[in-house]
Amino acid sequence: MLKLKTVFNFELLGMVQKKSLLVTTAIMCVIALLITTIPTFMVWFDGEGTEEESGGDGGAAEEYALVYENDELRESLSPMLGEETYSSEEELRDAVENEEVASGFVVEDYNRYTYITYDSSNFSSEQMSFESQLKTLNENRLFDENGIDSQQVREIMNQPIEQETVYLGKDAGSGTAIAFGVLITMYLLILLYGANVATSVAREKDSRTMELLITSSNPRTLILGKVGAVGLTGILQVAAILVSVVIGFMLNKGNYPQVLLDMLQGTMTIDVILVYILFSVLGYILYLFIYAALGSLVSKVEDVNSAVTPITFLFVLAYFAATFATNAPDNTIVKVTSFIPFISLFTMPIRYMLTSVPIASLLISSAIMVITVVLFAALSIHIYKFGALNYGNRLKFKDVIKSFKK
Amino acid sequence: MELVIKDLNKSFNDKHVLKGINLTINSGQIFGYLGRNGAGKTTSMRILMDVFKADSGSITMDGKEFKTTDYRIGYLPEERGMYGKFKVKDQLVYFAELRGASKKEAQHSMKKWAEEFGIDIYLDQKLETLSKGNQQKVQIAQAFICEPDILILDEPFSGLDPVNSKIFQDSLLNYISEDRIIIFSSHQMGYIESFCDDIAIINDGQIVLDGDLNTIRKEMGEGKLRLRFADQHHQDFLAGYDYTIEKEDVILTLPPNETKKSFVEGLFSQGIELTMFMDYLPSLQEIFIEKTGDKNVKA
Repeated sequence: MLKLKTVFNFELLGMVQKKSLLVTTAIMCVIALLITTIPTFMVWFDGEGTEEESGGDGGAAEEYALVYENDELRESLSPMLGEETYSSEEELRDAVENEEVASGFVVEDYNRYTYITYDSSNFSSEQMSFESQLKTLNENRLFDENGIDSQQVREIMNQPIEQETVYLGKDAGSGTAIAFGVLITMYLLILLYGANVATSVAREKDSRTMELLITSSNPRTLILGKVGAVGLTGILQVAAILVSVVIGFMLNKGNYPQVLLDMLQGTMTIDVILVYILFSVLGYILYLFIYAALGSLVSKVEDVNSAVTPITFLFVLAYFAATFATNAPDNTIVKVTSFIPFISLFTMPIRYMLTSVPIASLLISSAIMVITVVLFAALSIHIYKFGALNYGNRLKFKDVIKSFKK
Repeated sequence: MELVIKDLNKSFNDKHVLKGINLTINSGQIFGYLGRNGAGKTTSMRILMDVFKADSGSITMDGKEFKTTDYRIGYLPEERGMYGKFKVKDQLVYFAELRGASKKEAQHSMKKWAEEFGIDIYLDQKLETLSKGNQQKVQIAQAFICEPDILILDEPFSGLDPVNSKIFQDSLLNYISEDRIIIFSSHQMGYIESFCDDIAIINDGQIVLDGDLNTIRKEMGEGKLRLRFADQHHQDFLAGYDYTIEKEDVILTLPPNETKKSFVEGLFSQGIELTMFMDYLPSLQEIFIEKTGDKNVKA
């Protein structure tokens, strides 16, 4: 136990001393702060935008650059749509080209108009509101012509339907953003630190440090200490970034649109967080053990990649299953995978957050996970012990299986 | 202390690597353990260090079952290697702690041995920034750190220049004590001859020779003479004997019916002059070659 602490401290020292790790963490924290500040930036830029508009023509949003084709239209529509601003279509075109106005309308008939704008990308709500106003005016005119009280018709047509949705389970829509965020974080964490732990083991073999390690300590202590230290470093890194996100969020909370706030806060209850932590940490440890064991099967650092390919492949599959789960958390495939430890680290928390999962299922899945972690830890220790002293050719899986028979 | 290894057997897959090893290693001296590459030296050492278990056999210390946890074992493996990216002092302390020392003890011992081997100025540097020779010294210091009860040195001289070799030899001789066992393995027979009292030669998983080196040399030289003649008029006389030539000397095997006295009298009666006449003591290299059939060992 004392030696485990020694190995753990030493490995942790090795990880923390890596400048690359510190720099990447710092950069990612800054990026996290920037991303969480985006809504504030948006408010700033929106603010500048409105100032420009009001500083320009002084026109309110409701006022259009208008040209009426004939006097009849001008007389009947100008009270509602506004006074004519240009006397002819050519004048309006010149004005738009000279950027005096962004766009303008030529009213050709009660039900026909031409929209003149500089860039097609300039499409705005302006055109839509103009069109709906013109449409309403035209409809009212036609109702009146046919002796129907347009006022009454409007009332009838605008009868609101009252509705209320009751979620007995969970609202799937609002949690997807978080599910996706956690998914990507875990994906990167496991791939990065898995490779890290595998390389670290292979480097000890490559540099023959293993000779000293294995003679002065036992494989169990070595692998537990290493996985523990590398694992903790990863968790600390994620925690640092998470803290930045929370700080950024708290500082800019006021500028977040309500929709986003609902999405972020609505589904994050304590039990969801706990389920996430439980499955993420266990799954993470599970993968780290496997990566460590695979790292011990090769004698050279450059062979690590080929050695870890099978598990990386499995992991990427798990990731795809999980992305599928965020879209359809109630699917049978998702339900089944939430009991398979290599995938359940992703799918179970997603299911738990987005749908209603019976507590029994949750417990069974957790139990399977815990048992698998323990089994694979034992297996990894065995492979590590077997692999640690074997130099030369990369060990085949059948050699490993053979070693069990002894 | 007396370490006794009895009838040790070990197989890997179908390969029988150790075939009933019997050894007695005494404290207070340096024990020379010799063998060709692949003879089973490292395997037997690893069993001693409990890296893996023997298939059968026993290891006892002073009559009691030997447990690695009861002793500190310092090990300098033939394949050298430590952490390149770590500071020298950090990893020296680490290995000492793995061996069971407390942090404080490890720190203290680390400084002592770093000074002993002249690497104290590099303690704050990463190992990979050191020269090959200095890395070698860090390795050696690592084996001595925390004063192990059992010190196992596998080819300790490889990579050391003569000055550093001398420093290491002095440290090693100083280290000998009644409560310490030192096992020394090398292909450089000269070092074994000058350091070791007891030796053992392992060949193909079996101990083919063990005991006190001087006794072994006497036994193996029994009935043989080393002669140096003053001139070349001795060819006819030698024709009746079984002999080999080693540079200027003649190594001659006396036939069973002849004594040294009768042989010398025979020589003098023919007027042949000698400049040297002595019992022949075979060198360790010759003993090694004879026992292992290895013609490629370094002198």
